[in-house]
Amino acid sequence: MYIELLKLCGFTEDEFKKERPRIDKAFRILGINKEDVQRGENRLKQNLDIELLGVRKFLGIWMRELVNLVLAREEHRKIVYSDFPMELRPLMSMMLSTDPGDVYFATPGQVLNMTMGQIFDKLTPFLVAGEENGMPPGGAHCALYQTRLGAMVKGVIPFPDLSVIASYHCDQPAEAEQLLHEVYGVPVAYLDSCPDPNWGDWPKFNDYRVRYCGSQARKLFQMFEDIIGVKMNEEAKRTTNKANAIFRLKFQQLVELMGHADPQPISQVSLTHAFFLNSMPTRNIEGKQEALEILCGEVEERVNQGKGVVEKGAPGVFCTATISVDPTITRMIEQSGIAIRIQIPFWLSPWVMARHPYREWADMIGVGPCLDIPHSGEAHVAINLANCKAFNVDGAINFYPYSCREWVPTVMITKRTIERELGIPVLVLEGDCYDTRNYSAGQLRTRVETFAELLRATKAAKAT
Amino acid sequence: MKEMTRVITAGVDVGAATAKTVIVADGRILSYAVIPTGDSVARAAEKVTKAALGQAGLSRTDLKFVISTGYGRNSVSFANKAVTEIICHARGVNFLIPAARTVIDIGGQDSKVIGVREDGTVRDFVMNDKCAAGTGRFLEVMATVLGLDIEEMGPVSLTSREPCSISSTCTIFAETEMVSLRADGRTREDIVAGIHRAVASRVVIMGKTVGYKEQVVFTGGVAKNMGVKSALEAGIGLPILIPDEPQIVGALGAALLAGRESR
Repeated sequence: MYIELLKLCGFTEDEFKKERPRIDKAFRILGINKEDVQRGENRLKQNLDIELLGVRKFLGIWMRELVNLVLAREEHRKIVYSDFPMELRPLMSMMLSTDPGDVYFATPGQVLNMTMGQIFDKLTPFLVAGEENGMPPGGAHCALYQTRLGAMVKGVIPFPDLSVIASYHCDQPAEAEQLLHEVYGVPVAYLDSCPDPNWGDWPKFNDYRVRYCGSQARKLFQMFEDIIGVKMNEEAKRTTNKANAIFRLKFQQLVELMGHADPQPISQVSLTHAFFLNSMPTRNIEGKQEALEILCGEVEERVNQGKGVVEKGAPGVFCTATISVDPTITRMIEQSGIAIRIQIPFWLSPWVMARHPYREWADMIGVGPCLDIPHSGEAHVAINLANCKAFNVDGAINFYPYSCREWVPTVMITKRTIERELGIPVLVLEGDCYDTRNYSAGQLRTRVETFAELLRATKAAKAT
Repeated sequence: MKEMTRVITAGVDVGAATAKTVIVADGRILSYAVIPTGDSVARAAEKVTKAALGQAGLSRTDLKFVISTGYGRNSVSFANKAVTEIICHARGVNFLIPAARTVIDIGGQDSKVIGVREDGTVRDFVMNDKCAAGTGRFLEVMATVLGLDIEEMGPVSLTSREPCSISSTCTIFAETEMVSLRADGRTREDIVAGIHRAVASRVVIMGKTVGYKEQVVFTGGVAKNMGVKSALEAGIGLPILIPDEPQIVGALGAALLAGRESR
């Protein structure tokens, strides 16, 4: 039933044969039926540059992670979860690098989003279960945490033996994990931090915050030892930092290649799978490095051939709408004739990197802008502005995600700043990062098509 | 013979509540028609265009180019091109009132504020189609609760001496609030005026990111309501102009753009 789908996800015949019993079991637990598989195939073909091997290999890594997640309880002694903020992921990767074969580390929300959401468009049952079991609708809860709670309650993924969380990013992770602790008895490790700089502080380096984050990480490692029985070591830290740095650097090169190419060589949707694997705990480090190398080569080839998914000379934008559960918004923007020069908001321009060379994990949190969303509002605005400048875009599309306390406060400030500083238009696009019930590409189409026309007219006027 | 050299184009605007077609020849309005959209976008587009063509004594074959717009724009099979209603409204308003720099458009299920350049192109815009507050739908719901025809609301509100304050920004909550106001003995006039203020308030706030520059023009079906116009003027502190037929501005813009495309 799903051979074709797995081929689209880069599985070879041998890999499929070997993995089949596990996949059968996991898909049965997930309730994936023929209709879901067909929908998944269609979505991959319609929204991704599926003919590229690099894209297929990244999809394969996510599909394997889904199977691993679902079967984690029967295949491992202990299970540890984390999701957001993304800065926790390198810590999880470090723990994984200590090579505890019997412990499963995962970011379950992200795995479900990238597979059950992006591929199968089947997150709603989990969201509803989350709503029914402690995170009710209308409470402005983050759908990421509704999804993972729902999946656990439905018995699709196991409850963990430890959940690692931090509340500085927004209040939802801590709130959701309190529920997990109080109602389901899951031990939770909270990582405290102090990333609340005053406006005007950034980009100054705050050594105190870095040291405090470091001390919190040490506390966390102790909890891992006490509860899970896994001891952190320097070799694991070094290995992880190196692997993540190599991946990030290569990924940045790919983003730059994409951003300066005309026509836009592949859909930005096809980069999403690589981006969210950045620093994510996975045992298949070599696999993701290999996939990235292949994808870089394939994109370079397309650039050299002048092939693209958007017309050459199309107006280019910086776009922050990285919606991991739904590829259709990004595709709709591209199909409206807008080239998305850079979509990953977390890409740090050389301008930023020169100020913050990350040496240690604690730098990421302590300095402000980190490998994911900068939690200083000022940094957020400044980095978005820097990205617009770096790629010389004609406009920007700034995503306004419902129920995302971390993200929304700076959306309008960013719009005003970009318009004032660069004199280019900015479209604010409402939606939800993790819940497709709240919006659709069709609903947003009028805005995007109008914006595309506005950009084309402005570009034409500048040219004459 | 002279008739045959004319370039005749049509703009078809299929909105949530009504479908409109305007027929234009060489930059002059020949005819227009407005009908309820009903349950079929495609059928409404066919029917309203046939009606407009009939008024002008023309048939479909006389049309050189057709542009469809509105939320049903992609379902108009006989259109040569689909263009968003935001672009069409800007063009239509620019044709009717060249000094217009801001358009407030409130339709059946959405509202928009559009910044317009001198040449009739869009400078900036903001749109609400997620929430019924600030749309014609809000007024329809409230009119039903009060037992009024929607057309009656404007004149009724203008006689209010002390408009009520409707604090809820949600249509459903506002409906409950209105029931309470009625139970408190507030007059129908004051309640309706309060409703108009609530609608205007949502739109005024939304449009601040675009900015209100004179001349401000109000379009869409709700522009026929003088109470909302008055509340909007109070909200933005500027006078507002309303075209004679505010509902057909989008279709007119589409027809004019079709004229440009056909060249």
